[in-house]
Amino acid sequence: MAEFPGPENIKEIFIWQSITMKQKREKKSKRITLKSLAANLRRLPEVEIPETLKPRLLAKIPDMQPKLAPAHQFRWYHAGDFGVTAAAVVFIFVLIFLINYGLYTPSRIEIIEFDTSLRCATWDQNNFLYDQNNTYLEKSGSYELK
Amino acid sequence: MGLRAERKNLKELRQGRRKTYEAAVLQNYRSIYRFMAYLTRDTELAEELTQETFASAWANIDSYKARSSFKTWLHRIAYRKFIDSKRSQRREVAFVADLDVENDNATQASDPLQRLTTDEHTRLLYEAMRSLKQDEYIAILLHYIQGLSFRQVAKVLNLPVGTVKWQNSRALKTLRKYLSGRV
Repeated sequence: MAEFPGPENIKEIFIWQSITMKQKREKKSKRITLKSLAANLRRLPEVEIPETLKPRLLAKIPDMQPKLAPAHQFRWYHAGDFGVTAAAVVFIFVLIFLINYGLYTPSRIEIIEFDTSLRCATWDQNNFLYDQNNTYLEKSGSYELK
Repeated sequence: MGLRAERKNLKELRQGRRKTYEAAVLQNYRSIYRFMAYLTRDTELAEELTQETFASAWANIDSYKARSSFKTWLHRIAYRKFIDSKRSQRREVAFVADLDVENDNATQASDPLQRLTTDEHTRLLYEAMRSLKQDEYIAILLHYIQGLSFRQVAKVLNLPVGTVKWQNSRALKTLRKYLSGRV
């Protein structure tokens, strides 16, 4: 760095300032950034390839036959995999059956008041009401259970 | 190359079709040799390992499942070949310890990178690269000189992508530190 001339000589101060700024600029331009370093690495000169390498590589290929997988390769399957799959399929079928036909609930026989008289009636699994002669009693409003 | 053409190439490669493989060799041998030259710093060994890499790739072409590009797969094989050769070299060195000085002189003479140091800046950069740790050197080499993406480098080295990025950034900082006092 240039030496500071002192406060009395303004002209020299200006010259000193311009010199230090120039030095700073030079120092900054010399500073290596990671980006410039990466660019330098990418620009490194190409390694010389031996002329004999290419023919040697090509000549070596027909000597060796590649290992290819046999056309019909036998594969073992774990029995457990089949068991789990079969159980899952059965479970899905049972689920579909239950959803379609509903779960069986035994019918209940109760004594209810119907048209001002007590009757012994049966509720079926779909909550329909039948009397003792198996005649369907229309479901209307609430029946009081006794 | 279009996706369809690439698929066709891949199918032919896996079927062991010689012509397709030949094209793949011609497309990649420079890159693999460069990789080997930087790793081994020995022209003869680099040439030998390049040949071994392509021979091994051809012999095991069926195991190429196209989970990565063909170039990445080749780099992976090359890297393994280098590791194997280094292991066997270590064994040899234990037996022939007396020939070390002679070997050093021979290695310097056959260093393919020595011929490239045409200017001072390049020479310093090579010198700085030599100061790196092996994992950093390989990460820098694969990414900046071989032009592989971080993901591809991670596949070659069998490391997480984050680790590769970290190695690269650490290596660049080491290089900068080395060069800042000299340039």
